Amino acid sequence: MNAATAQDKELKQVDWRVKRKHRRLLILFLSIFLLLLASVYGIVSGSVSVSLQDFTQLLSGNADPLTENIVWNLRLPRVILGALVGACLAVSGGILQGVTRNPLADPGIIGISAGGGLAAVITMLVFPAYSYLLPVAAFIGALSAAFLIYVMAWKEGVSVFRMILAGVAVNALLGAITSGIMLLYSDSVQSVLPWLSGGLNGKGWYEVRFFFPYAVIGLTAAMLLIRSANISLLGEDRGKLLGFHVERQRFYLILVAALLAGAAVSVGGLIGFVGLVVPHIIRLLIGGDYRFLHPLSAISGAALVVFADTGARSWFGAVELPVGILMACIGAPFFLMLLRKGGLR
Amino acid sequence: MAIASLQDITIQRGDRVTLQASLEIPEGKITGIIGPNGSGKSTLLHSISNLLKLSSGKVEIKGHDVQTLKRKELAKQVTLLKQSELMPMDFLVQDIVQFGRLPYQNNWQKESSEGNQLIDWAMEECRISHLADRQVDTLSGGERQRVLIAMALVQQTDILLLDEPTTYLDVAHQLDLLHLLQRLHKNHGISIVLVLHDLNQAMQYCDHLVVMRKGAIYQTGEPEHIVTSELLKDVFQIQATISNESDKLWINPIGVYL
Repeated sequence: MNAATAQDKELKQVDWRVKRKHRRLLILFLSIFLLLLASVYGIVSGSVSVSLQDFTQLLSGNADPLTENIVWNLRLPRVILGALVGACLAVSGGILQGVTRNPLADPGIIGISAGGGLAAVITMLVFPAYSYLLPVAAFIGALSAAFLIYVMAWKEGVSVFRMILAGVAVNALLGAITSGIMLLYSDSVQSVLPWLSGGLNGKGWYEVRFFFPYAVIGLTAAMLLIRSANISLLGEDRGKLLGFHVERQRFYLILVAALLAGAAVSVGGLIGFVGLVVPHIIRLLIGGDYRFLHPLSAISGAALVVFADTGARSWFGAVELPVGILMACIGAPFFLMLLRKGGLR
Repeated sequence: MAIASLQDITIQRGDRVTLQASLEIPEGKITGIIGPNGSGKSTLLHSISNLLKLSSGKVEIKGHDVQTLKRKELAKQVTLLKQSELMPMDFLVQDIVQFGRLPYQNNWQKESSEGNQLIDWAMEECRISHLADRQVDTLSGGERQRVLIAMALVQQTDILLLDEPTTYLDVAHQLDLLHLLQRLHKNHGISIVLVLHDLNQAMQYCDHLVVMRKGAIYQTGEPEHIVTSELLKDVFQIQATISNESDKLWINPIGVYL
């Protein structure tokens, strides 16, 4: 090979490395921009609309007290909650899809959320006096369901295939029990319906304070486990051949996914779809490498939930729809469109 | 010199013994494993690379017991390309090859320039440099196989095990792959062990053969010394003539005894 073609080749290699980096950076900035946009939208819009002028006054600290009160005590915590719930659900779904190597995996489908749901329904209907403990109960419920699934799938090691099946069965069982309890307590069932369809109605700083540490711990742990998440895509044997402790890492991954989903369920109820769809959309755009998938899913999931939650509370006049309903209505057609356009395996 | 030795190993699945063997794998050679379906060839490779639990006996690689060696250390000694490999389809070729560096990395360490050079070298050797930015799902079967081999090369093991690497390839790509392995063996002295179904390929490309039958080793040795019509009848239940052309034996199957 002569010098000219060797140099050419080098240039070409540098070229694709740069191009890929640019594409990923572009999508990163775009999703951060969307999150900012959604957050501003979430702060200014609602039954009392805050004009952009009010907004700038707010930033400089001389807005009228009513606006200030609405923004600080109602809208801001809601935006923060939406962002954290979205990020947690998206990352949790991303992890589960990788660990199980199943594109359908998501905390809502393999029964983790259902555990939270059952615990919440029991708290609200059977022990209504303790309903202030709802987030704690839902969180414990979700983690217990994850633990149950893991134990059920264990037979000289956990097989991902068994895990999915065990998850679906546990999901069905917990769902049935939840419905049963709701029928037994049908006179007060109104109070749980919004929660079950997933919503952030009436949530504020109390929930932020409860949720924040778990979200931060969970998201950080997920980022620390990026390499393990990538290796789980190669399968168990390949992981071992590369000198990796596959079972141990898988346990950590499932634990973190359960923690994230449990925390999200505890404040947001059964918000479906984010965990399933967001990672898939990001995969379509930048590929499945978790080094990029996780951060981007987190940011886009946050943007999506903030946006949908704002829409759910401000688009339908006096009625506040649970965000879960709106999200499924936006998300499902969008996802189907992507699926039809191809590229999604 | 043996680079790997299997000492009285048995592998059981339930009550059934699927493999019972003692074997030495010569260093710096291409060793072919042949035998009919279900004769334990894959099981043998899996046990060398410690993917299967031994019921008894032990496997040593360069004198180290594979079951007690740390996983990362073992991953620097031996690797296996299975018959069908899981590859994340939306990863780039470069990222797949880079996985081979895992045994040499700590969690947050950035890839060293040596590591990057090694990746570039492996891709060059396997002639996939031009595919570096392609997604795996856009590659042909032959290209995917070469990506996996590049990953294994980056792992810098002393032994490379391949389970039927040519099975899903057309004839030209089969030969291409065998030439690649031959070149790697010749230029870098890697000991290669591979399962082959094509007997003539085994005769042409292997320095050493391990013939298996019914979960046991039937015969080992240089192809020219051990392969006879008698052996082919016993092991494969075929009737074949053997001819000698330019110092290599050619097998011509003409009938079966099934």
